Amino acid sequence: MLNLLQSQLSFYGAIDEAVLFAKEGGGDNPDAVLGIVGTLLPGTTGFGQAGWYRELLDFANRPGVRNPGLRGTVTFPSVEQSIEYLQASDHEERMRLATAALRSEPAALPERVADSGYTPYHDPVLARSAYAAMVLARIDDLGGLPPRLAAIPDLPAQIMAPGVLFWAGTPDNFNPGDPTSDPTVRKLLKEAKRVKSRNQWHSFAAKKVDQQFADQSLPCFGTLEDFGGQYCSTLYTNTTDDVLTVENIEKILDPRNWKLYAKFFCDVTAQSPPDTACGWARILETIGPECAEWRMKTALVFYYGSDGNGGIFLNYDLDPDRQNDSGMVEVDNGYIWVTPLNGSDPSQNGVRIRTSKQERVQGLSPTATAALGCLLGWGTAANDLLSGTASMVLQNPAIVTEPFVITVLTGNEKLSGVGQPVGGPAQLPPDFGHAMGDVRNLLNNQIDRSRNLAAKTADRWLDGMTRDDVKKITKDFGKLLEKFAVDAYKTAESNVKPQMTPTNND
Amino acid sequence: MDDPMAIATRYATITRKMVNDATQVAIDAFNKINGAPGSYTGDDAIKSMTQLANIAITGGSALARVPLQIQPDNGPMLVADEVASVVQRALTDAAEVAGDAAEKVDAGTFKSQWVDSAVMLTSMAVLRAAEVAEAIAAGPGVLADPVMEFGPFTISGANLADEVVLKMEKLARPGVDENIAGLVSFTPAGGVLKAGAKKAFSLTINSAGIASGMFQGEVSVSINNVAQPNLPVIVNL
Repeated sequence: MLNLLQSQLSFYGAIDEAVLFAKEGGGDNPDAVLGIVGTLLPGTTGFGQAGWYRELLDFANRPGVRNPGLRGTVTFPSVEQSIEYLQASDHEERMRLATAALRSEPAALPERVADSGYTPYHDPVLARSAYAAMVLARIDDLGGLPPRLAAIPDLPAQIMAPGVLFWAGTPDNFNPGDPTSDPTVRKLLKEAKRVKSRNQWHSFAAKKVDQQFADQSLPCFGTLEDFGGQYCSTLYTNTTDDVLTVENIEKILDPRNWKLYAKFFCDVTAQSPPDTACGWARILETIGPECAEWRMKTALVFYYGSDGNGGIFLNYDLDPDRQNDSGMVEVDNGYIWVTPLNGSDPSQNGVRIRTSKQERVQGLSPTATAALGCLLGWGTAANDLLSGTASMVLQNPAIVTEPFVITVLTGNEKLSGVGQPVGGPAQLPPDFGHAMGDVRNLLNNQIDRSRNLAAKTADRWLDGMTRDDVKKITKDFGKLLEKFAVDAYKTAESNVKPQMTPTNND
Repeated sequence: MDDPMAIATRYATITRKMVNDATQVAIDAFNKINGAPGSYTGDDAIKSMTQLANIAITGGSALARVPLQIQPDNGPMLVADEVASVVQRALTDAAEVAGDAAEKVDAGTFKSQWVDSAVMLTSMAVLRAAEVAEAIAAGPGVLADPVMEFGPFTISGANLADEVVLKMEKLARPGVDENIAGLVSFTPAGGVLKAGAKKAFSLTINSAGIASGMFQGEVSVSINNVAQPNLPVIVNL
């Protein structure tokens, strides 16, 4: 597959590759690389976190996600292919590249079709690509790019230049033969080598490009929250626009319009019957960067509300009746809240959009779930609402949109099932066959270690315990538990995540 | 703290029992299948699966509780909470697999499918064990602070000299049969705005375990013991 969303993901995949390389001790300053990536992309470098890109590829090939009509397996584009697609000058070029990559007729994504309303202007995917370029520049400066990536000439610049210039609506300033010819791009790349925090990048990007670019460039990252006894990836976003109004956003906020301006949504349609007994609207979303290859269908319910102070909101949750659903999502709830930036007049210029989402996908780690949300779609809803494409949809009377109609409740509603996490028989990655034996061996080792420690403990106890003895024993138990847990986790991880395969260049 | 020797013994006993029990289940099944082909029935399969699930689940749970008895601070408590939820899910999953198998046996359609069910159950147990390990070890991610604050909200119609008493009557997503008012605490404490104090308050909500969404609520207001119209509030959790 080859499209803008997937291309952007591959740039973050390149960062993940550099992290795995550093974790193996590769590069000049592996600890520094892990440190800076952990700061710029929190939650992506630890145990169970690094390697998320390959985990996502495995996920795309899982039954229920991979399109059963697809011949062969789902593959993600190489960094080189992604750069070429990102730098394509128009929809015809993108269609040609996608066709060549797919070896068949690609889907009619707006970015590949003339007069679809798509414009690269203020496309958040381009801003996020620029952020990836900044992180790659930082890694490169630390000598941390794996050989395969280091061999790509001017890798950070090749991504940064089209990301910044296309986003800003100045594609003519982009010179593919000399990606650093634009002074803004040069300054951003120079600053990238000094970036130590997300805030530092944000301030500099706001100064050199503009505030919206800086806002949109920062990928969100998931935190963990407990919901109904399950830990979910929770994504929060908060963004503003000085020009648009609440009334503008209201025209395109209905989920059935999302596919018009948000790349991640292949289709969002009303289910039948249209409402639950509680009055919430039943809607089926089909998401994926290239739905002809891999996608998830999730049955959701929506409540359209007013906050009574000039703002509107959408609440959503899983539909208790998972009609037409892929069955992959265990938790999916949250809100999109649109308010006037100042005061309470929805017709006044200036709008703030806050979103929150709790998500848990069966068999997908929180890090990969967060990547799915923050880099591909769900967490970018606010930015997509403010994109140039969304503006084109608003301005084009030929594009019919579904209106935002406040849900009317009669007072007799009961929504049993909403708010309850959904479970089911676990479906597993393919390499689990040896895991049980591995766990048994770990436990046997654990018994041996426990026995030794127990003997030591007994000796101390029989001699009479002091405060220091208690401290020492507690510390030893802590170390023991940590070692067991790390070993157990590494083993489990090795059974579910692909190992880093050295290439000829490594 | 308990006798450290007792803790160590408990630790070793649990792990040894898990290994021994699980191995015995596999050996029994293996012997029966190879010793007398055809004698291993669907009922036997269900029994094996159930035993295997119970071993993994109860053993994993017991193992994870050991640190609680050593260092009962907030960190291990969070881990125990997560482990408990994983175990609960594992039980639910196991029950579904076993129930499905039982239905097929009753319908005479189970036949060789017990292998699939056994693989699924075994794998499921390991998957959940991995989740437990993940919770105990480095942690799967950054834990969000579930405590959220909202406000200040002001009380109109009250003077500085009045005493105002507040109570959260209901807080729920519109149309959802839920009420999380009990999770709300007021500042000032108890929802009492004493005479001479500002007539404003804020709300603190521990959102752990609660779905994300826009929640609408009503605060009952009493000024000098005279009930006033409820004050509507909306919060984003």
